[in-house]
Amino acid sequence: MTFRRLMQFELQALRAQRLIVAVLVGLALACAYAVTYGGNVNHSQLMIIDSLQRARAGTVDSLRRDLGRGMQISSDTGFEGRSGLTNLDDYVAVIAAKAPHPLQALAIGQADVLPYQRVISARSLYYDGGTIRLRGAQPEIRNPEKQLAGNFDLAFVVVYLVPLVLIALCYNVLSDDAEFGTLALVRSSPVPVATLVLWRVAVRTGVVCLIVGSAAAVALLTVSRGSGLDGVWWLLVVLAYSVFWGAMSTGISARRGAGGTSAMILLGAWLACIVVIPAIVSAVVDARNPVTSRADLLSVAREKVGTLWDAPRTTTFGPFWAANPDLRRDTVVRRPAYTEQFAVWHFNLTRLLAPVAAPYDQLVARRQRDGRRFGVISPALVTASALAALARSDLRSNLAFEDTVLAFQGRRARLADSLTFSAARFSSQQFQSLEPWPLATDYGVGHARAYAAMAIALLLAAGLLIALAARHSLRRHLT
Amino acid sequence: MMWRLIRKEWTAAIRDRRIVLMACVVTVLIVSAVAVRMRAASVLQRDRTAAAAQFRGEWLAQGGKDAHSAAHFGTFVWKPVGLLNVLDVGTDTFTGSSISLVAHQQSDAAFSRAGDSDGTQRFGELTPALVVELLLPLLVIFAAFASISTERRGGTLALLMVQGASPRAVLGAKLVALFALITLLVGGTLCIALPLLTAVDAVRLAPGDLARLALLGGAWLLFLLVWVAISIAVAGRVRTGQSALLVLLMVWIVTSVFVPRLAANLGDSMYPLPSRLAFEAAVAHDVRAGFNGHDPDSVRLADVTREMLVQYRVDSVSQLPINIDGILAQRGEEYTSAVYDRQFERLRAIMQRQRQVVQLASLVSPYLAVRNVSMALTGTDQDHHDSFQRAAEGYRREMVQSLNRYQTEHSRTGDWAAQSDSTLWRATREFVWTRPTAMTALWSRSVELSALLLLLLGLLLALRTRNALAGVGPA
Repeated sequence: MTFRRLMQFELQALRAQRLIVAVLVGLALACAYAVTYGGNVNHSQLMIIDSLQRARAGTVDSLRRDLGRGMQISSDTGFEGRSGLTNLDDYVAVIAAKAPHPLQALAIGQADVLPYQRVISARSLYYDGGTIRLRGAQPEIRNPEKQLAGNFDLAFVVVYLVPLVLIALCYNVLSDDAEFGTLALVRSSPVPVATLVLWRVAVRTGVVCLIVGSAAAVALLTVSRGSGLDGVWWLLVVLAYSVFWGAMSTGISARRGAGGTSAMILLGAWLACIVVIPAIVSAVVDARNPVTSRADLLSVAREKVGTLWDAPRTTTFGPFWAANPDLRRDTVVRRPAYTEQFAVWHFNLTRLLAPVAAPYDQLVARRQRDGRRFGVISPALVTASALAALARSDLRSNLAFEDTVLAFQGRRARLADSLTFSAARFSSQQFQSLEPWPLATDYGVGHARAYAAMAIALLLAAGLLIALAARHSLRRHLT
Repeated sequence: MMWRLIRKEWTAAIRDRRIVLMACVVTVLIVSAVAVRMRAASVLQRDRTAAAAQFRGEWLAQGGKDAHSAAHFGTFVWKPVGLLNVLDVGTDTFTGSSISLVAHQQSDAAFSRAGDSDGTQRFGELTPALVVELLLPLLVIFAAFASISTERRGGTLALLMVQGASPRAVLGAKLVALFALITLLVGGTLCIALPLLTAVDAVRLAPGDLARLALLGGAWLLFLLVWVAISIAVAGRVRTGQSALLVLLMVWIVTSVFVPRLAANLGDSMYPLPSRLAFEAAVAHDVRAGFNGHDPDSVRLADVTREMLVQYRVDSVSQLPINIDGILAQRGEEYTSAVYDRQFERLRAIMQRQRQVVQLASLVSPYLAVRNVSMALTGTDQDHHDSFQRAAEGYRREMVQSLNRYQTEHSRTGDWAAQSDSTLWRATREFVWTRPTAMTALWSRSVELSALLLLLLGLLLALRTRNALAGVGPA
C-alpha cells in the first residue's frame, strides 16, 4: 500500500513539473519519428531488393521460354546476338541480397554503409572481366554528409536520448530535498530514505522505459513484425541500459552536493560514455589495425588479369584439371578454345587472388573484434553494438553475408565450369533445379544473442555496483 | 567600469575550480586529438602515396600493348590526405579513397574506412573539431550558467546597479570576459598543438592551408561567441542557476545532438537516392538505347562509320587510312561520358536538395552550421570529394582520348597487333588534384556562415533588450 502511495506521489510530482512533461512528450515524439523513419528505411530496402529480384525473374522467364521453345543453349551457342558465354552468365547469374532483418527498422547500425546486394555470376569471385569485385569496391550510393550525421532510429533514441532524459529526471532525486530543506521531513517518514530513493528512481526510470518500450512494442507489432525472440532480447537490452543509467543518476544524486553539480557530473559521464570513450576506442582500433588502400591486392589482381590469359596452358589448365578431375574425363565434346580458356582464366583468378584477399578480410574482422573488445568500457558502445547485432545490421553480420555470397558464387562458378566442359546441353530441367539465392536475414544469429546476453549482464552488473555504491554514499550522507 | 567588470569576471572564473578542471580536460583532449589524428593521417597518406606511386609505375611499365587494351587496363588514383584533415575528418570516413579509371566506365570512389569498420566510428572520431564544436560549448555553459544567479543570490548584482552599472554593461562585460577566456584557451591550446602539425612526415602544408586555417579559426571563434551569447542570454533571463543550467543543456542537446541527425534524416526521407544497381541499370539503358530512346548504340555507331567513309571518300572501312575502331571507341566514350554526366548530375541534384534541408536546420543549430563550415575549410566535405571525383574523371577522359587517338592514327582497322610502347604511357601525365581555393570552400558554405552571423545578431539584440537581466535585486 505504501509503495503504491509512493508511486502515485512520484507520478503526481512528475506531472506537476511542466519541463519534465515537455521532455517526456519530446521523447515520445522522438520515438514515434524514429520508428517511422526506421520502418521507411527497411521498407525502401525491401522494395529495392524486390525490384532487383523481379528484374532477375524477368530474365529468367525469358530464358525459360526460350528453353521451352526447344532452343539449345550452351556455353558455345549464342542467341539473340550474344555470345555463348554471356548466355551462360545469364543462366547462372543471380542477385544476392541481404534482406533487412525486421529489427533493422529499430537499429539501422551499419546497414546504411555496408553493401547489402551483390551480383553473382559465373565469373571469378574477385573479377568479372571488367571490374575488380572486392568487398567494398562498389559501395551503395549514399550521401556521406547524411552518413556522418547518423540515423535517427530507435537505437539512437535509446543510446543517446534515454540517458539524458533519465539524467533530467533523476539528477535531483535527493538533492532537491536537501536544497529545499525537506530532507528532515523525508527522514522522519516511516519509509527508509534508501527505499524512498529507490522508488523515486524506479518510477522515473519506469516512465521512460514505458515510453520507449511502448514505441518498441508498437514497432515490433508493425514495422518489425516477425522478429520473434530477437525482439524480446532487444527490449531486454534497452531495459538493462535504462537500469544502468537510472542507477548512475541515483549514484551521483545520492552524493552530498548541489543538484546542479550532480547534473554536471552526470552529463560528464554521458559525454564520456557517448562521445569521448567511443572516439578513443575508434582511434585505438584505427591505430592497431589501420585501413589500407588495398593497392597490393588491386595490383596483383590487375597483373593476373593481364598475364594469366597468355600464360602457358600447363600452368593454367594443370591446376584446373587437378581441381576438377571429373570434368577432364567428360571431354568428348570440347568447347571452342576461347570458351575453355575463359573458364580456366576465371578459375585461376579466383585461385590466385583468394590468398591475397584473405589478409584484407582478416583485417576487417580484426577491426570488428577490437571494436567490440575495447568497446566494453562504454555502456553506450556495448548497447549500440548489441542492438545492431540483434538487428543484423552490424559488420559481423555483413561479413557472414559476404561469406555466404562467396560460397554461393563458388558453387555457381563450378556449375558454369561443368557446363562449359560437359558434353551435355543445358536442359530446361537443369535450369529449373538451379539453387535459388536464399533471401535470409539471420546472418550470425547465435553470436547476436550471445553478445546481447553479455551486454545485458555487463550493464546490470555495472548498474548494481553503482547502486551499491550509491547506498553506501547515501548512508554516509544521511549520518 | 566595463574593464573592472571584465577583470572581476576573469578572477571569478579562475577561482572556480570546476571551470579550471574542465578547461584542463578540454586542453588535454584537443592536444590528444591532434596527436591521434596526426598519426592516423600520416599512416593513411603514406599508404596512399605508396599506392599512387605503385600504380603510376605499373602504368609506365606495362610494356608493349595495343592502346585500347591499355585503356581497359587503366589505372587507379588515390585521394590525398590533406594536413587539415588532422583537424577535422569530416566525411572522409564515409567516402572512398581510390577511383578506378578505365575505358567506357565512370567509377565512384571505393574502399571507404567506414566500410571496413564496425559501428564505433558512427559515434564520432576524436578530432580537434569534435572537441571545439561539441565539447567546448559545454565548458561555456558551465562557466556561464550561474554567472548572474550567483550575483543575484549574493546581492552583488544590486550593488553593481547602485554603483551605476547598467544591465547592458553587466551582461556585456560577462560576454566579453567569457569570450576572451575561451579565445585564450582555444588559441593557447591550438598554439601548442598546431606546431606539432609540422611533425606529420607524410603530409605537407598545401598552398592555401594557412588561409584555410585562419578562416577556420575565425569560424570557430564566431561559433563560440554564439554559444557565449546564448549562455549569457539564458543566464540573464532565468532566475535560478539550476534552471539556467537545465535550459542551456537542453538547448545544447537539441541543437548539437538532436537537430543535426533529424535534419539529415528528413532530407534523406524527402529526397531519396537511387540504389547502386538502379543507377547502373539507368546508365546501361541510356548507353544502349540512347538518351531519347530512339538512337540505340548500333545506329549511332553505324552513323559514325558512314560519316568516316564519306569524310575519307572510300567505300569500305578496310580502305580507310585510319583505324575506325579508335574513332568508334572515342565516340562511344563521349556518349558514355555524357550519359554518366547526366546520371551523376541527377545524383548531385538530389544530394543538393538534401543539403538544403540541412542548411535550413543550421539556422537553429550553430553546431550544424560550424560543422559544415569546418568540413569545407579542412577540405573534408562532399564538395571536396566531388571536386576530386571530377578531377579524376577529367583525367580518365584525357587518358582514354589520347589512347583512342593513338589507336586511330597509328594502326589500321582490324589491326589489333599494333603495339604501343612506353613513349605513349609516359605521355600520359601524372594525376594531380588541385583542391578548390579557400574562398570557394567558404563560399559554398555561405548559408551556414550567414546562419551563424544571424544567430549572433539575434542574440546580441536580445541581450540589449530591457528584460535581458531578469530580477535585478535579491531573489
